[in-house]
Amino acid sequence: MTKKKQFLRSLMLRGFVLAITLIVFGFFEWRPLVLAQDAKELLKRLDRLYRSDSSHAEMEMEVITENWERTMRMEVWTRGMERTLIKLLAPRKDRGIKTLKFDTQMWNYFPKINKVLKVPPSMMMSSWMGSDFTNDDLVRENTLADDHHARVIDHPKTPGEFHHIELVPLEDTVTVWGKITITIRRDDLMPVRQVYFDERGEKKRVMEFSDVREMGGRLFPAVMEMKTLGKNSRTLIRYLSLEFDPELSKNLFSFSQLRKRN
Amino acid sequence: MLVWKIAFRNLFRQKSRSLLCGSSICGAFILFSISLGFSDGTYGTIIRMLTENHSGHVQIHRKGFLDNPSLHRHFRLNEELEQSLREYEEVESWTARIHSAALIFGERKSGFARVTGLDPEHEEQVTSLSRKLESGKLFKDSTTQEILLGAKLRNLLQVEVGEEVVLLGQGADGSIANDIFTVAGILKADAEMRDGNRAYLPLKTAQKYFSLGNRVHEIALHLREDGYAREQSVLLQQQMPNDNLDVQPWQVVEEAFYKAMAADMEGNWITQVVILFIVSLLILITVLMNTLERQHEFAVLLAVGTSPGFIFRGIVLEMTLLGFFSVLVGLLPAFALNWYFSQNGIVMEPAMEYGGMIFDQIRSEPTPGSLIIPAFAAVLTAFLVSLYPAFKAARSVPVEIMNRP
Repeated sequence: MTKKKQFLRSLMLRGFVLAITLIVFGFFEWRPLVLAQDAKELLKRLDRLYRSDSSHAEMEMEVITENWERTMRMEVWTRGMERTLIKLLAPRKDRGIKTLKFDTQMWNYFPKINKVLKVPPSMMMSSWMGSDFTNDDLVRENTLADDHHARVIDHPKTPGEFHHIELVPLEDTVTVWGKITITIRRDDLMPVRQVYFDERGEKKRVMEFSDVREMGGRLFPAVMEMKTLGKNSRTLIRYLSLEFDPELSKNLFSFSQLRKRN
Repeated sequence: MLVWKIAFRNLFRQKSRSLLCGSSICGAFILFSISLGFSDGTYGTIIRMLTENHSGHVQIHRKGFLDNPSLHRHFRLNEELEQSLREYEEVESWTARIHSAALIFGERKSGFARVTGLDPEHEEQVTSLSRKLESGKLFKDSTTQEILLGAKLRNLLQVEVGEEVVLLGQGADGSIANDIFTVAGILKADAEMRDGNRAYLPLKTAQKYFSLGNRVHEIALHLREDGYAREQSVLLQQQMPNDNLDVQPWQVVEEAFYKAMAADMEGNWITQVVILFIVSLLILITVLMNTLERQHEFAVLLAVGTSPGFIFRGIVLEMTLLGFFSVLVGLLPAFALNWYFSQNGIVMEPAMEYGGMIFDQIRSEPTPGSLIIPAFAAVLTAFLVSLYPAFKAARSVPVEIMNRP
């Protein structure tokens, strides 16, 4: 056998082995792997939509329940995904109340009584300031990609128009949600809807995104509306201003800053 | 008529015998009357303690509040409602309240508090708030930044009058209610009833703290006459300017307490009947002795031609009359003793707790029922226990009786 033939045979053999390997270990997994990768990418995009290395925003939160309505104005600073400081500006009686999120822990500061209270784990599913957002939402909102199996599935009604991501919690993820689905527009990758299901698969909360506009040099939905199903209440968040990567003081996310009455 | 004459004569013929038998009936009547007097007095005290210290006679809430009390089940205390309460003659005084809960922090400890907002001036007229003070003073007015603590909460928080506490709760508008209050006074332990951990804020301060505006959860009414709470609540319901308001008597407001008390009263009646049964056995023995020692007399009467029916009627009438006269004699001492014990209760050592209320004294109550019921019971008992001896005497054979030594 000539060297050329030997080389060709060796090449074919390698090609065959490679093809078998791809078929056995790759082909059947190829599509989900790629979709899972897409899902992670889409989720990261979502996270980056509202955040940067740091951000500073002013927003309005309107809470409407069957018993009362309330509008709060607040200032929010973030650094990465881990640190958030929220300060209430209005109404007057709540002015100065602050919430500090540090990794997965939260503290509230009440200037009137000059007290910092840690939000205990048992209160994480309680409402934040009477809204439809829970304390857990504030802590966990941006770790969806890390804590869930994510895959892109066909949108049930208009697959050509939307991406549909299904998130199922990892085994060691502590959460009350059995599943979360996120609908994203295909053309500009803007989120449209986020639905929360309980462990029995019942729809419990729906968050809708609207009013896509440019703010802080980015295009994003400036209004988010969270509805708690069966409770007849909803919470609207409106971004009034947003600035990405501002210069933030080093100790902004510290207890001394939290306690500062300003 | 002859039977009446003989019955009367028999009563006075052997005075010591009648006196002995009559005194046992009289004694039983007096004891039964005092027993009922104490029973009425105790339950009356419980009801008064409840209505005059806590609930009032009638309460007004928003519909559904009693079944499911919630911060959001409030109603507006407006001029129209106040006017209708002022115009209702049977209402002597009223007080508005709000109810909620909050976390409470002292300097050293923290806990959970049931918070009631009340107007000190109005509350004084309905539940005599000042009588419940153990130390300190009441609020100066309805707007002051002060708090009254129940003894249990004071012990839990280890705070004293003049110190500051922090309340952290939920406002009716979804906000986090938080504020600092100075402890103005401590209320006695028995003012707290069964649920304890009570804290009281001035009404307007509490309305502001819980973001309730001029809304309240409850109006407690004190009626001019107690004992008609059910009837008055029905009439008052018709006067309400708002269909959303629910007027209920204390028996409904404190339903669990009332049912427990009603069950207790039924149990008490069973005890009274058992006592009455034992007393009637004693009377039976006395009456039986009374007739047995006159067997020869009855035998002679039968021998000379008196009908057994006449003898039967004579004995029954004699005993019933004896019962009647014994009750007449016993009426005055029974009333006097009940009255004495209504003025000078028996001190309980240690104090007894009933439904969260603490008694250190039990008192009698000289109600008509505490005299009429035992009177009827005594006469009826004398009548019933005389039936057997009368039957026995009427059926006796004269020869056999007269041959006995």
